[in-house]
Amino acid sequence: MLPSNEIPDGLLKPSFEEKYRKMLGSEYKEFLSFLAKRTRKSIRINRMKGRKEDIIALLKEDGWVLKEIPWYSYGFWIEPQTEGIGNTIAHKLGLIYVQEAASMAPPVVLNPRPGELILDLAAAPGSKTTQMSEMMEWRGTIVANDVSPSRINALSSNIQRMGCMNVVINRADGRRIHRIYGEIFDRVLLDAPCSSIGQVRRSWEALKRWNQNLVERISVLQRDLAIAAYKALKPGGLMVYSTCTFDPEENELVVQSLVNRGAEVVKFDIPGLKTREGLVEWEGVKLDDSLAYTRRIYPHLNDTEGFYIALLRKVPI
Amino acid sequence: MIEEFISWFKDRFGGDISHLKEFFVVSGEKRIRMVSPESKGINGIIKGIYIAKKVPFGFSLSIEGSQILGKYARRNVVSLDKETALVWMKGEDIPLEGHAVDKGTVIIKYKWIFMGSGYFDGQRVRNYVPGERRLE
Repeated sequence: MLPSNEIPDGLLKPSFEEKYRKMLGSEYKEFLSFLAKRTRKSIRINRMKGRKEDIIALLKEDGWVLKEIPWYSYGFWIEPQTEGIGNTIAHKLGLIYVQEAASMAPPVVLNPRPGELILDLAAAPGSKTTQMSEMMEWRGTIVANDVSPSRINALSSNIQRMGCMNVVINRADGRRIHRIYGEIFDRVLLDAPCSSIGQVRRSWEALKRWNQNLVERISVLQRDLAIAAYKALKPGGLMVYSTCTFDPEENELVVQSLVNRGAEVVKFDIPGLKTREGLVEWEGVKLDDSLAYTRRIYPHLNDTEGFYIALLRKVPI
Repeated sequence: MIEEFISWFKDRFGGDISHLKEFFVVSGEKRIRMVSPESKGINGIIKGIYIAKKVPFGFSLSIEGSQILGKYARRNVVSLDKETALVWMKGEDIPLEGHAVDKGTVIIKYKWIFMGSGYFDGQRVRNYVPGERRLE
């Protein structure tokens, strides 16, 4: 069932409340109030299939009202907030992609360039892959990897629909990726599988599933994926590690494990997007000061879903 | 098959796409895909996008094939009004009168938007829009 401005009784576990209250401090109440609101619907315009103004005109002609998303100039919030946008000529022909506004941020931070070799390690269903492909003007290569055959079907359909001729789909356990390709990538995106509290605004499921054991179990996989992704980078290459959740075990602690292997945390800014600094201490454990350069995007800051983003550089040995 | 496709496109649509040759790769027995030249040597299970298929009367173009190559076509392009474009996107065949097109593959267009290809049999354009790309 979709969220409807109030979190149902019994859905917030005491352990969740205690942990998130500690993490968010005075912002906790506001955070919770936005977690209960439905997400605003948004789209990304495919700049490779048409001029931005022509695609906007096409949508306006059918009554859609668009408002530009400040941190991605091809992203727009749309009204009315119905499901109908998926059944339009623009969508069926790949002129637009329905994508949540905050999820457009990790590719913006990675900033892939035309001609580069990019790895998207956990790519399905392909929203960020196709966004990066457009940013690269269909030049160079993105290796879009995923492990699940059914998710690869969705990925493949979206890549076809959006016309991404610079994408190569690979199916492998991401933890082995560096053994398959070696250290060859200019940039790597790891938008890791996570406990998804940042997506509660579209479904209560993540809140129902959440428990500390789940977080710790997922964090082991995330750390292994992050290490493999980091190894696949060229020396000097850049990597974005992102999740759609807030638990430090899935975020800063994973990035800390890369810092322990010599990664440099790179400071970044996303113009137009309000963020909070990454944590530098959790449960009495002091983390590297540079973890403050990573960013937490809480739902109440921009009225979006939630994300965590870190930018790292592979320091040449 | 790539040379055959380029030659067929010129005969059928009057446009030269030979400069795109380095993007074309043959996939299986009948399909042509477009792949960025840098991606050709990279390992993977699927590369680039499907753009054309060999058929008994030449080739058919996928939606993406029409969108990328349509701008080179000088003839056998059918421009629809909005109402007919919606019918086309629902997967229905389009009766055609008064259009100067030859029997065979035609490219369908609405305003500036290329919407795939179909087969014109002299009376109607048979619809090739795949099920998952059709309007409900």
